Amino acid sequence: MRADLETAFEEFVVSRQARLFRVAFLLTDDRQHAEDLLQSTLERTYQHWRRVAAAETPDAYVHRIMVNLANDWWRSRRHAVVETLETGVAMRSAGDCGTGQVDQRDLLIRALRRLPAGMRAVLVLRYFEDMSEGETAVVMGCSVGNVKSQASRGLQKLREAVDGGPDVIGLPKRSAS
Amino acid sequence: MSSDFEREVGAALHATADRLDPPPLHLDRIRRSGQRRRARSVSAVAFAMVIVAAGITAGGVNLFARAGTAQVPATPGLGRSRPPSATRPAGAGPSELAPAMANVRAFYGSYGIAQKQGRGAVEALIRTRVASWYRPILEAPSGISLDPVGCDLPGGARKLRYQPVGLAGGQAVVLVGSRLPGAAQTAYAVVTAEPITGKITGITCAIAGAGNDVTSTGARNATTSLYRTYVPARRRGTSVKDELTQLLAGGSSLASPYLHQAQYAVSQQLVSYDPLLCATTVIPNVSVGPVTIVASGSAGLVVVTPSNGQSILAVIVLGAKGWTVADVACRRP
Repeated sequence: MRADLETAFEEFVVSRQARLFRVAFLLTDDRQHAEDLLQSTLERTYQHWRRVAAAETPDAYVHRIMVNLANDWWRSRRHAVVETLETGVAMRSAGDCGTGQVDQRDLLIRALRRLPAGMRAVLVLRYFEDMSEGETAVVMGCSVGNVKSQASRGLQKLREAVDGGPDVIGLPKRSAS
Repeated sequence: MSSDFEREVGAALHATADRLDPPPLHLDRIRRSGQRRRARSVSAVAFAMVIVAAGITAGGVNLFARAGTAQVPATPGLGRSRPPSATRPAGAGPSELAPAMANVRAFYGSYGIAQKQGRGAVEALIRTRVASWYRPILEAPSGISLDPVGCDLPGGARKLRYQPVGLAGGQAVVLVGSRLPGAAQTAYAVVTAEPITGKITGITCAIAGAGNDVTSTGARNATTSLYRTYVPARRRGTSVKDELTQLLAGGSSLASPYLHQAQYAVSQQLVSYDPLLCATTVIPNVSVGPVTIVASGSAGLVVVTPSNGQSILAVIVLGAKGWTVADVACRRP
């Protein structure tokens, strides 16, 4: 690869590394998986760097790589992951209930982790990366309508999880409407 | 509606993730792995292309369904007797065509969806996938009923077939084809793209099997005729806008969507280069080179070489009004 492209890649990695790692963490379920996902994403990015660098929105391109890899990873580990997460949630909930100190955000994050990979990715891109519906659609490779419905259903599931959970001080409950 | 809850979700995500420090990254490891991946993918593409080339050589197989009677193989250098092709065959450099193939696939794979979403989505797609210098021309009114971007290819994205043709006139050429329902004809978009970035630099719509077969002689003559009129007029001081208007006043040029679009873009000052010579200041001499027939005989690629160096690729079709220069693909002017 040309020297200027190498330099551009290095600058890109340095400037985006932290942010991408956080997205990776939210797309997976733990730090180790997030590190693997980030590594794989950057390898793929490097593989196609000439094209990524030429794109008008390199960030969207890289996010797309990451979301696709995360989806592949979830697909290949679906059963094992569900088991791990359920066990983890159950154990943590039991401990939390014992002290009566369940944090509302913790509850939301646990509910998020139980969402399907695509729905979770939409929520992460929309509400963590602050992407518009159009930008999210480009990253996800689907229509804006699909993004809207995924986000709506994802939020609904989070609400249901929150509403159905233990009483939490300060948790915004959904109105009866 | 649910903005409080959305904000709460955002805050929860930030509270969870923002405190994380990224792991130490080893750029060299990333580079090495990326290089290995690239080498593997290039080998895989090369292998696939060798298989395809072998199939074509052995049996005259066309990747597209055969259309009509006067079939011309889409792969240059085979079949009908004609002058040597200027197009490097796909098998010679698959990696050189990979960005174009990927970009064209991505473009036509999303175009139908974008159309359903509205003008904004189409514009966003064009912004992403089309070369900046060609964009104002592509988005201009074309003077034809056919959609000059999607070419009204039937059957939706899943029915489209993509075929790399080769490199010609500094452009990577990719065919996008789809069989017309209930007919032995195939509709094509002949797409040219910038080889390095894969960005689209030209789209020509053509229908094969409709008795409109392009011949090398016809394509070359049409191109020569256009430039023989255009270059001297420009040398005499006629502006690009006036000369394009003059060309569109009659004859077969009237049917050229590209000339309509270029004339509009120039008159609206949306482009600052000469869309037939791909030049910004000088008016070069041009020589018209060899022709490659593609898209089952429905389009001809003619390499035009200006005296100042950068090649141009003209795409010729045979329409109801005769031979038409349907597109002129430029590198970055």
